[in-house]
Amino acid sequence: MSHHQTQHQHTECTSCEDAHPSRFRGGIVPTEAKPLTYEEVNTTVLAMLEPPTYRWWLFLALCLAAVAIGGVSWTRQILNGMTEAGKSHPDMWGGYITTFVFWVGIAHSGTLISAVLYLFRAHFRMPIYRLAEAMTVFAVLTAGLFPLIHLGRVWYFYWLMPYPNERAIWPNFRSPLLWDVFAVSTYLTISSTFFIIGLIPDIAVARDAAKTKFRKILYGITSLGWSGSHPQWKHYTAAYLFFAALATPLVVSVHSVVSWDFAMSIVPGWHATIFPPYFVAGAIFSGIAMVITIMVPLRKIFGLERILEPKHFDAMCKLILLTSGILTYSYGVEFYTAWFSNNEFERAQFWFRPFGEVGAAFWGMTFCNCIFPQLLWIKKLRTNIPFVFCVTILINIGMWLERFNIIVQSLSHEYIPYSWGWYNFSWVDIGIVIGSFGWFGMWMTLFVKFFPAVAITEIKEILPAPRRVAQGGNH
Amino acid sequence: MSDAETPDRVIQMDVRSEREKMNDAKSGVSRRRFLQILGASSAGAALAGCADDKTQLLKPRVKSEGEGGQIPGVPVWFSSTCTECSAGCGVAVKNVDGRAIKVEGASEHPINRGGLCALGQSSLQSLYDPDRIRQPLKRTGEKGGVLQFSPISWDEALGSVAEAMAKSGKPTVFLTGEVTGAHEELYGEIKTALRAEHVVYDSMQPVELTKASEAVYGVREIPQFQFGEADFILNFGADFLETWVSPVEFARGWAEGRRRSIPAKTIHIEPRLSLTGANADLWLCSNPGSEVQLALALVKELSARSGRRQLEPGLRTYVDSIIKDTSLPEVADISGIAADKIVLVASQLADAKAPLVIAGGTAASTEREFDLQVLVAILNQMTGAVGRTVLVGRGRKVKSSAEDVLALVKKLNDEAVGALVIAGTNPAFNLPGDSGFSVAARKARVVVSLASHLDETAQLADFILPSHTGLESWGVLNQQPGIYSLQQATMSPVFDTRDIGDTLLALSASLSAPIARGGEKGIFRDFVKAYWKELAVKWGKSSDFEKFWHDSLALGGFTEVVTNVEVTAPKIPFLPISFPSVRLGDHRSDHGEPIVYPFTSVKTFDGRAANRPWLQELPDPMTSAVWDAWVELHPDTAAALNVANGQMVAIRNHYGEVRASVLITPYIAKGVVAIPLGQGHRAYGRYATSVGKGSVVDLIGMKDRKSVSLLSARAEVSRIHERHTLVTLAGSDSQHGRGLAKTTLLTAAGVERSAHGAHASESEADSLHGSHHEPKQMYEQREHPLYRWGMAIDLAACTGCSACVVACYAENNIPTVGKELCSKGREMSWLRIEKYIDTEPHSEEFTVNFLPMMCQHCNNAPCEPVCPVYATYHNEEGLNAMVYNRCVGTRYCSNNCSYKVRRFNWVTIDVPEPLSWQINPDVTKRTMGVMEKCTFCVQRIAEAKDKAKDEGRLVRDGEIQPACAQSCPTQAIAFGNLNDPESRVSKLSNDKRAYKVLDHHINTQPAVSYLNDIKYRL
Repeated sequence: MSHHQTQHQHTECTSCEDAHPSRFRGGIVPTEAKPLTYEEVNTTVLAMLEPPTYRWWLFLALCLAAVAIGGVSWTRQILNGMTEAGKSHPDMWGGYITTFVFWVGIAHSGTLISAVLYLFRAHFRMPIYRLAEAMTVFAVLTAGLFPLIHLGRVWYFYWLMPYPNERAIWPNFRSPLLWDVFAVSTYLTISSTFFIIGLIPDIAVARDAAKTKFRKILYGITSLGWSGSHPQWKHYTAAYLFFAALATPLVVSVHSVVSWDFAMSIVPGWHATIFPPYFVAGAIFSGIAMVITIMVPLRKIFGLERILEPKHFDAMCKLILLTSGILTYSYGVEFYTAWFSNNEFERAQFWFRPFGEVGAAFWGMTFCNCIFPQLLWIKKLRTNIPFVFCVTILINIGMWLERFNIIVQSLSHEYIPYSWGWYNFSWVDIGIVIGSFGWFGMWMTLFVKFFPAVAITEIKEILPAPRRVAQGGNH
Repeated sequence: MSDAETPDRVIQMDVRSEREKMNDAKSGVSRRRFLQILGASSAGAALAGCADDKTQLLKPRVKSEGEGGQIPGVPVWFSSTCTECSAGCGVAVKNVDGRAIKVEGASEHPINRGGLCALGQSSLQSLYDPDRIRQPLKRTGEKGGVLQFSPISWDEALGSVAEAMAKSGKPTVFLTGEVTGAHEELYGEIKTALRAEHVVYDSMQPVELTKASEAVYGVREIPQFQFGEADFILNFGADFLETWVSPVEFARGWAEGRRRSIPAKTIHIEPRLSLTGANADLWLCSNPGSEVQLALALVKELSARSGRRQLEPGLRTYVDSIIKDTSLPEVADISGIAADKIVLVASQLADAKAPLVIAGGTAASTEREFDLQVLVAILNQMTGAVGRTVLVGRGRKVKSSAEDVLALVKKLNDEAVGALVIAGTNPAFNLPGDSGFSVAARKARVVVSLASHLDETAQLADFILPSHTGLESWGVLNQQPGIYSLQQATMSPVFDTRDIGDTLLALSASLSAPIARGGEKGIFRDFVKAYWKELAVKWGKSSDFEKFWHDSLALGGFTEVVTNVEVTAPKIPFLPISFPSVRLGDHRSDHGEPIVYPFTSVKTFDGRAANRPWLQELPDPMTSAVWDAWVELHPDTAAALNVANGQMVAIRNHYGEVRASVLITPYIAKGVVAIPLGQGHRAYGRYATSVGKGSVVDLIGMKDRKSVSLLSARAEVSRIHERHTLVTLAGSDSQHGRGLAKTTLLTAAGVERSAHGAHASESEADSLHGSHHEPKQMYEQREHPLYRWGMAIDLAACTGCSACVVACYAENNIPTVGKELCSKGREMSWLRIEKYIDTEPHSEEFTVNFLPMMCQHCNNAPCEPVCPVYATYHNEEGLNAMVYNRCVGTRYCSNNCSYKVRRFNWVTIDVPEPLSWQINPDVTKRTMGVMEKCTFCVQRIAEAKDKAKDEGRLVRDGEIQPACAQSCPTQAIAFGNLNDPESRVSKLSNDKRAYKVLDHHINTQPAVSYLNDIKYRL
């Protein structure tokens, strides 16, 4: 128990009932190495905020270039109409909604890791959750653009909001698209609030270590006067718990609502009751994969090997295995229901997906999401970080293909054979998808340079408390 | 046309800027000018002012009451006659504020009785064609292979032409399309006055049929075919539902036969499945040119049966002489049709009470068409059809003659022609290249064209004196004895053009041979009136002629009763006919090169309407191809030629070359390459010249023949490395057993057979037996207190002719998007004809279904709940309404529409002026980014409801006709109030054949009912 007034009152955690050091030590602290000290945590994480190298600038430039491509594409589309996108008569939705659902899915794991695992006291989340949360917020920011991008008349997007107006015209509350507006905006609000609250003590650490005037002002404002006093910690932990509890149902609700965009329709291949759990599982699956995809290079670049240990990857891979299993089961159920329902349109749709013109998309999805991740049953592979990285890249692709299959394949092969058609990507579609990755990457890149991307205070919770006799200071 | 004779690429050069031209164009018919004239007009007559001083009175179709006559914005309807083909359907043209905006069939006209085909509907796009000739032009030479024309004034043009004609010292020849009535009279008078010659050429006329009629029945005409009277139709390739002779009239008659309690049967024999063939009960694929042998075999079969008794002794002897060498197995071998099928045809023919046998179209157009037509006439004689279904003595006369044109070519080559005046015909495109017309025409002293469009023939001219299109012109048509239709100008001229009659009268006058009936001023309208007066005297209507004239104009014409000519003794013994078993083409594809089969269709006709976007974007009913020509091949032929579906090929022979994409279909004879006629223009306009690479006519040689035989050439087919560009709109042409378009199958005796196909679903069987299970509804149902608008479509009467599709484009301001956007699935049609062709398992029998598909105005519309902004909703009259202004363009409604009838405005389509003048002011033009779809022509509903409200009553049944229903030649579409049990639509919707598409599966409760098609299985 260290109650002396250090700059960072992170040791508060040890006063928590569940902070039984031995319990976590066994789970988290590498046995082969010396445990991290508080100071090492500080320096390692704060080192990420050091003035950027040319590589960071290069990456940011790449992201900005991608954003520019997206911007030009969108501008073209606004000027010339949706004809610039590759949609066609049966495929009124295509790449945009596919990518929208993809990003909403990505946005899931953040809340899951930070809030749900927090409530479950799963402490392997500690070094991961900040990145996951950042990813969530930025992925929602990205996803939220797509419903706008895909509007035929984006300049009237505000008609989707229930705002009082002199004509007394309200939106249609029966439309799943309207629920979508609420679900996504709620999710953005809650997840960013949760994210910002979690950041406050860490920003204070950065503030105290800040050398430049700009950073001093930036952190001075954003740390909201955090002093690390006991009452502050008391309120903080209560608020954190409260927001975790508030955010948890959203993990289920947002993607359920997104799935209703499809499930509430009568399009064969969309109209299925399994969609909400199926989408939630898929979202968690893709979200975790994306967290790993981002973590691996950051770990390497910023030398976080001692914080993000193979054990964390191992735990994440187990989650991937679980969700991959749920997803595989859901895919199977879709086919089973199509067959069992004896509905000729459903049956034709689920025959079309694997054996139609673009069966490759279906088989690609099956390989990436169902078959390849099964290798993670092997423990050695779970801790083999390059391999895990490859798995997650494939999962990212597979989950994009999943949404593509659901959206485009279903629309292409509906009730009226005369109106069967196909969707072809145009350069504008591709430009906007590229732009979305650039947009997301831009936020992530800026974030890791400006804010602590690993939760300093929380990691300290699970480290052995520094002793008075420790050599070389007690930070 | 061979390369040597192909004129170099030619375009019209016009020195003025586009803006100047447009200003000129506008000045021809400015709204302001129109309203000025309107203001000055007297009650009861609307005025259409010409640009010059020849102000003419037009008689509105409706009687306007009270002072003033016309209110701006309120349409005036003019009766006139369609001159797009020689059928001469009556039309009513809607004129709003001086512009014609819609052409509809006139319901009281004896030929078409209400319907109007796609070509007729599209005449507006000829009127407003942006590539029309806008003022008189003079050829000023050629520069760098480009023809140069420069604009001149009318006075100068007429003066120069008259001078050239006078100076030439050689006779003038008028080369025109088919003319009857007033124009025939006019040419007759001019011919006499100028000692000129008049040659007629219209590539669509069945000349050989008229010759055979003369030979067998003694009257040179197309006999009047009573399709409605027939209980059995045997057809050798005549596309009477598409382009043949009078398609709207024939389709209507055919549908009448199909609607009887025991429907008429049709057997169609031809080498390539046409739309007409697809509507037959039995379609037999014959080898090209084998129809003569088939007809002969049938004559033989019939003469062995009762049919022979009907023959005159002389004819019997003749028949005996020609059939003695015919053997059924041999004919079966030549034709590729099994002997038992031929016997089946013969027995159906023999058993029929009122049969009708016809031959025509490309299938009949061989060197031996005359023989075929004679045999067909004999079959009609033998079966007693003459006098019942074939009425002689009141048929159409045909003046067109390729023989005369060839004689003219010879004369031209001998430099024996002074002036060649060409009007209303395009021989430079429609005649095969080796007829030598294009080269010979230039040998006349002066070539004068009276064309409206700068087509291949007009480009040969030294002077172009541009004419009005049919909708701006005057005339009297005498389609067939007893029918006199008035052609009335329906608006003032769009450009600085003149009525053909006015030009001819002026020319005649300048050559000091004025024509009396044209009056002092030489106005053709006066000529028409004078002619009508003469007719009125004949009809005994001359007592109050002015009233009769006005009534006739308002009504569109006059019909007198004509009796048939009794055919007693056929004048047969003229033909040294022997029918050797020669084959036109060997059906085995390893024997020689494939035979070229040019075919006409509702979309292309003979190429006369190629510059109209509506028709180019209209999906071909059989292939759903748009904006292109294509090559149809049998799978075996394709395999032998080693070409794949979609592959670009070149079809080449001595005469020319066509390049197009391959479309493989089993419904075509082996060894045949079928190519649509009428595409591949070298001139005519921006749309026509962009479609097709080479005209199929260029593959046909005339050799030394006296007529044009479409089916006579062979050509080599070779793969070429060009990008595949054919765009077809259909995703699949099979129903995949989904029971969307249903068919009741009848046995030969007319007894209902069980549902076809192993795929036939339960619902199909249910509806065939008329048992409707009303599903239990879980939610409160919608209520429609006053009206519930609904539609019923009789698939047994729908031929797939697509007139409704074009009518819908015209009425609802639907933009054409062009080939590239069509290829991306972005066509905007609110109404489409889905063609499905399904083979029965383990059988060669197949069923072709045409399913007109538009918004179904569902009670439980899937599109409505998903719209986040209420842009689409259900109104209290049962309409699925669409608020364009409110739409933000999520497009979810389209995704959730099970019928896929919603269209999205992907892009803003720029319609060039003056095509945009056709826009219907009653219908909103939609902006980029919003959805649209069929509204059941809500503007017409509103109009009728307003009228009913003024009169304090409900809308009467039949008072509202959406554009599609109005245009339908067979009246297959009924529209009305489903709340009224006595309405036609209610009765049809409760018919035992009625069903709703997909309703059984998804409970959408559409307002559109379909009635099963009916087909015999013979």
